[in-house]
Amino acid sequence: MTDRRLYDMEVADLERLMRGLPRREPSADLRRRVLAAGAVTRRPLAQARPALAAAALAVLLALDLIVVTIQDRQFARILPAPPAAMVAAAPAPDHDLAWLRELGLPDESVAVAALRRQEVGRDTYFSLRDSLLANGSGG
Amino acid sequence: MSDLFPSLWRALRCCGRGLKKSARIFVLYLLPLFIVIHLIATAITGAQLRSTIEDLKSKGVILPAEELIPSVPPGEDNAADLYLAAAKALRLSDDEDALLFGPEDRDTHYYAVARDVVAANEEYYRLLDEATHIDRSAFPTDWSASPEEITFRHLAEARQAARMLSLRAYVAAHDGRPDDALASLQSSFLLARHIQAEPTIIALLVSIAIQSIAARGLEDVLSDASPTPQAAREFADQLAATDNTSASLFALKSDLGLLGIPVFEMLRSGEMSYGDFLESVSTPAGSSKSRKQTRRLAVLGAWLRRPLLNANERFYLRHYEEHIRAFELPWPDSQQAVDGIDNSLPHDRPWSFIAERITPVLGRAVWSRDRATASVRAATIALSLKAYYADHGAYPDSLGALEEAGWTLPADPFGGGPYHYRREGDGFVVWSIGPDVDDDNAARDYDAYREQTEADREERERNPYDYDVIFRCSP
Repeated sequence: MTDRRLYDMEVADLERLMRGLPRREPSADLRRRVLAAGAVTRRPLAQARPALAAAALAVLLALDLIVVTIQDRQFARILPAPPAAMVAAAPAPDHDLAWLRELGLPDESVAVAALRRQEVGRDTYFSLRDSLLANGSGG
Repeated sequence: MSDLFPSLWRALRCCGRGLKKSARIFVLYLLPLFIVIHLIATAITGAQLRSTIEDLKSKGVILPAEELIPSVPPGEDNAADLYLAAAKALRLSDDEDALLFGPEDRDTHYYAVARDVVAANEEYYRLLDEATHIDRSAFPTDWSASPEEITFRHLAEARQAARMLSLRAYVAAHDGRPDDALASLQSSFLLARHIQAEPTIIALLVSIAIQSIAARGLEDVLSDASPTPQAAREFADQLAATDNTSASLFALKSDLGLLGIPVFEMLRSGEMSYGDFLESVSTPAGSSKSRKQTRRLAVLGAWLRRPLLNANERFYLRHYEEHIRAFELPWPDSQQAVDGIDNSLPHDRPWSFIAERITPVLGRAVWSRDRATASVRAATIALSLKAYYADHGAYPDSLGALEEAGWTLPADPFGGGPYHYRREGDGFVVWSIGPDVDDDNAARDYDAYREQTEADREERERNPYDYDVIFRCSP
């Protein structure tokens, strides 16, 4: 670089030159091309990560569902339901609960209260059983 | 003011970046981690449950449905059909019911009304007699239905039938027909046997109640009249075949296999929702957190709760196995074991949340069972004594004389020792030492004890086992 050219330089450019920095900002075109080149090299990994995560999630979920399904089949095999031939046609539940008293339960007992609250004639096995166990069935 | 919008925009962008980051952490790390944990927990709890089921099946605790459900005999071979027909034929007004089954003392008016009731229900009694002499009975029940949909009206009708049979026995004994009276009470015990074939704990309790009703009826009948030795012997032989221990084990295994385990199956398959289940069971007493936990659990999906469901079912099965083992023990070991098991049931633990709602509290059941057995065995000895009286014209000085006469005497279920006996006036008293396993010399009768004042009832609450089981024949 000649003295003339140094002389003609702006002070700021001169300072940049002394620090080893480029004298001007890169052009917009250059910057776009450099960025684009960088983006191309990074794109596969950045895009693959969510796809891999989704795939891994799907595999894990499928594995979990397979385990659950296998368990269902195993339990159905070792604890079979009553054969259809043994299932009799049961009488329809009725709405008259007076028979509960004849069973030996006091009015205030849990079963009577529970059945009245339901306002239907369904007999709740567990509450009826527990009430009889707690109160005794008389005698 | 001019800087306000850019500042707001920058803040919003920061939030957006934050949300995106937390969503990324959730999707990339937390969700897979949760699924892995769920997968491992499901596999482990499922394997444990499977091995528990196999173990209990090999021990005979879990029985196949074919061994639990009574097969329905065809047409006229099924006593249940006749019981149901009899219930429809019953003619009994509320006034008659209150009069006949209220007072302990029976006067002329009582017997007049009782005779009318017996005469008006000839068809009812005919059907009952016919039913009790048929070998098999199976009431129509859909065992594949939800436990909520199984009806038990026929058990109430059976209990009422036992009272009606006692009523007919009282009339027959009062009118000088002691063998007819015994036959009527025999029908009651046969009815109890049919009810014991029903695979539920409720049926067991009702059959025990029927036995107690009939034993009390027999006490009154034998005080009122003396049957022939043949009738007494035949009745005693029938009572000797009573086996409440086997019946109670069958009831427990049925409750487990037909009603408890299916609840888990229905929850697992989604056939029953948590909400339906929690509506159908009572909340355990003293459980303050349960409502909150109930709602929290109710919103979880079938998939999400699978490991907990497996753990609950395993807990339930193991807990139930302990109950069944306790019921096989002799008194008082059985009662102590059952009380210990009942007290060890935790409250609102995730691994026992469902189990604790369907596990029966059996503290009183083992006591009720053995008390009924004690009454039935005392009744057997009383019938032997009546037969001895008919043959010898006097009651023996001791029960040893009965054994010498060829009678086999049952052991006291409370303690396993012999029954106690003494002559009392023109009659006698036979007694079991009762659940306190302490001989009160027949001074404290449970049945009389519970009819006393409020103070007596309070004392009974304090000392529930402090009495003898007594059969008193006092002409």
